[in-house]
Amino acid sequence: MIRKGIFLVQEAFRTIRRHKGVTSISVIIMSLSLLMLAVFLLATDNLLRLVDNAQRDTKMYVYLEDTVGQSGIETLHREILSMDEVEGTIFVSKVSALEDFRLQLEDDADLLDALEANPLPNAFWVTPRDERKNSKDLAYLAGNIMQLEGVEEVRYGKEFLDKFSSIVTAVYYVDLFVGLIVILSAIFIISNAVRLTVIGRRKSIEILRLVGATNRFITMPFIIEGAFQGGLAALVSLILLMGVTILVRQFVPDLGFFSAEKTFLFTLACVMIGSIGSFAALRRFLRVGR
Amino acid sequence: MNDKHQDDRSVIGVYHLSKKYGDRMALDDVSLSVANGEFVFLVGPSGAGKSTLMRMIYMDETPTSGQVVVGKYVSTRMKRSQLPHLRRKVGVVFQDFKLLEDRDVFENVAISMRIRGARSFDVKRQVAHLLNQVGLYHKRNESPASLSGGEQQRVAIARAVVGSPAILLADEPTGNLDPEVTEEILRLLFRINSAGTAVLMATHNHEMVRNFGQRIVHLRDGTLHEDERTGLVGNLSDRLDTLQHERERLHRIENELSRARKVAAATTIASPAAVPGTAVATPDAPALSDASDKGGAEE
Repeated sequence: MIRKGIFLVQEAFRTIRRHKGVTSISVIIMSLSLLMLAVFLLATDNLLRLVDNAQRDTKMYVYLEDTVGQSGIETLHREILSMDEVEGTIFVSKVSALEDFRLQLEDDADLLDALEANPLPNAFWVTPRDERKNSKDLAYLAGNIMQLEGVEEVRYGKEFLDKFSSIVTAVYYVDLFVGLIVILSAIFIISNAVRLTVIGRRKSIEILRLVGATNRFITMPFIIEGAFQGGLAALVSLILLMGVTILVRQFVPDLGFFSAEKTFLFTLACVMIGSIGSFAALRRFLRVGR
Repeated sequence: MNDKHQDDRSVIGVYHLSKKYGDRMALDDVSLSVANGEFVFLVGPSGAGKSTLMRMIYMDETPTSGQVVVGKYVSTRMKRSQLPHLRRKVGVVFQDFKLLEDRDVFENVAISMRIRGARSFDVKRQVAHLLNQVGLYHKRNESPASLSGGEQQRVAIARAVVGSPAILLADEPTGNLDPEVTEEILRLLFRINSAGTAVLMATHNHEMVRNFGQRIVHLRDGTLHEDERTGLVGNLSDRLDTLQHERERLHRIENELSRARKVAAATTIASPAAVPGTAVATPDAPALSDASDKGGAEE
């Protein structure tokens, strides 16, 4: 069993060496179509991160009535914190709010001296949980907080958030649609490239069947070869993508690359597409005759 | 129909086999049995159905009707997973050699053993032995493309028999070769046969094979036209023994005959009227006529 396994791996690399030309062409074709896929995935990855960052900044401002005293503030703090949707709250007193305001005004801070009393209310900055940072959940949370005694107003940029989430939804669907086409065409191109290598060795396959090789004996070297080609093509396309990213960064400095984890997953997926493509192409040949 | 048809000694049993390609009948109700260790020529013009029959014996084609039995494998009950195991019991040689172009001579023969997971020590030893037998050990590292047709066919034959199959099928193995090389290949096939492997060889050339004294099965238009049996079954060396034995027996019969004549002549002198009765009364006479009948049937 082990002896056969070693022989099959040797077989795979023997054929790769023997058919360098076909292997190279097939790896180049695969690399280019994977580059197309990788560009798409990277764009999606950046888009999602952009959306994520925008949402992470989402905060809810809860302004309190001036009549609420210290104990009322503490009660409200407890009540808001106990809500499911809430991650945390920070109390901003009217004094520190005015200080912040003064800092923001910079040179015009003198204007504030004209005020007789501090017009700013006490407030809570409420951070919702990440998964609740959508317009529907936030509207619900805002409604609940408004119900509490001593709350004057709740603000969370509703208009912006509504518009933003509808744009994100639209982009998301377009992305999904384009992604489907890109993935399908990558799989199509790769399986065709693999099929070419299989067709090139049809005669060998026929001979192996005649001398009594099992289907597994015939397919394993091809599957190993497909996996190798897929992995190699993934690495080539990632290197190309890195180059593209560096170029584009001159215009979009914030453009990020895949994390190590995603790079690994991408390579793994390509290895699998290569080996499954080989297997699928071979199955048709092995069915011939019987 | 069942495989009870097959007698104990037959390694290939073909029963009422028909194969239709579209409207064309490639084989029509062919029955044939090849005994263990037998050498059979399958003769017929191109398109007679020889290759179709061969392909159905190594089960690369399924019959339209009828049944093929090879050892314990029955075409009608064959599972796809059993096919490789059948192929290891049946060596096949083709007109176009079918060698793996991307491997050297050694690996072309070795592949038959590697697919069975043989140890590399055994592979080396056995392949070297066989390449020596077919006289190609010195070319073991060469690519098949650099060999002559006869040499390529010898490599193919070595590959076919390296696993000691019970049956060797040869489909026009000499079709691409000139007469001298053809003889060399035939001699190799006879040698393989004399070691106990049943050989079924298809050829369109009746002239070439008629004088070997082997069984010749004629296919014509997909039907079995004639089965020229010599009446003797066995490998070539057995056959030679049998011929020797037969010659001695004929010699004995001749002696008996001349002695009977002498006795008859003597009796005629004593009593001319009693000649027929005396001849019948001779104790050796029935044995004599019996033996000559048998001899006639066997011709």
